[in-house]
Amino acid sequence: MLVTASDEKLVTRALGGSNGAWTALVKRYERRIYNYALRMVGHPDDALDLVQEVFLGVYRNLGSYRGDGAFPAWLFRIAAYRCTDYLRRRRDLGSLDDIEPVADPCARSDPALATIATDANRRVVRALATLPPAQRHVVELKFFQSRTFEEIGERLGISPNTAKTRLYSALRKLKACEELLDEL
Amino acid sequence: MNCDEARSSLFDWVEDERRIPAVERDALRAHVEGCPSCTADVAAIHAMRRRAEAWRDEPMPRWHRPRVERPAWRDWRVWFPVAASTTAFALAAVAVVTPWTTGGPDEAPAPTVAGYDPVLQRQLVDAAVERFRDEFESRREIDRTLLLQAAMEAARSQREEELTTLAAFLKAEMDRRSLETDESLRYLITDQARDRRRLEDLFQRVGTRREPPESRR
Repeated sequence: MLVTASDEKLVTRALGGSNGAWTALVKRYERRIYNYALRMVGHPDDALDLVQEVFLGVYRNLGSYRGDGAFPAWLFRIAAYRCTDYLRRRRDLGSLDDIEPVADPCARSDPALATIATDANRRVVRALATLPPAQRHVVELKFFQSRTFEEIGERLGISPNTAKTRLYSALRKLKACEELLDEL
Repeated sequence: MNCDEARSSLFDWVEDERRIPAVERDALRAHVEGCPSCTADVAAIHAMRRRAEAWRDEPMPRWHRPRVERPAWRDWRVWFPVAASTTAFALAAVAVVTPWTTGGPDEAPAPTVAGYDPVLQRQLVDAAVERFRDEFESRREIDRTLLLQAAMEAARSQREEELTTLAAFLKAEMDRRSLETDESLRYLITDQARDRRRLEDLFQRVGTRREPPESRR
């Protein structure tokens, strides 16, 4: 019978120098992190860069993971931080709330998106790209990670009501985009 | 119920309306049915939920996974040669020693074949063991003697070297001292000769003023 090692065991072994355990840990989560990054940054190449950054960050901070919480939550916190940092660098702006997407909100012409496997995924990426990162975070956490508004507020350091307000703002922007018009 | 009140519960209503008390639920339904804006919000929530559910994780592109830096001793290329050579040595030792150490009283009798005498075979083996032990002991004795000779030779060589060095030092010292002695003698002789010449010179000068005893005679 094949027994899958827990995240905590893999972390412990990776900290002891086991490359196999570290690789198993990376393989277990790389796809989820890549898809998360793809939705957040809207570009496959950027998403792959982010995966690299996230796992380098995880590797550097693996010693500080105390195992008192779920490993995926810890991992996604690092991923969220990296995504925010990445978007800040890309926009070269100070406040995340002020960041507005620079591309045409409903543009269809980005050839990089052609590498996305399914049309449904392409539509989601295009739709999310119309949102400022702060709203994108809320949409990601609410719809793709099924978090409550309390959890979203805790994760983003905002109140649940603010999270709700951002989500409604995001939905209104999405309604304005043709990506979702076909469903509304 | 107004739009703001409705919006605070719209998500709960869409996700699981049982979270909302029945009275509030009815009021919310009534408001949404009569409010185009809230109806559009509910539709947007449903649409986005469908989009999220339709999301299929993209395959992971090829990338270079970061690797942990392992301690050197964990690298098989470090310990494997040592382990392999140790194992090979141990196996060879077992292969050599086993024929001499097995064969105790509890051992099962060897199968007999025509022309095979176990007792004779055992005697031959014992004799071989005895020869091996003698050989080993004599070899060990020889080795010990050789070692002693080598140590003595080394000590002798070292002593010789020390003596040679000492002799060279003494010779150099003697040379230095004899040189100094020669110099001193030469100086003394030279000095005495100079004094003699001065004395003769003095005698001559004195002789020119006074007549020599021969002339007075």
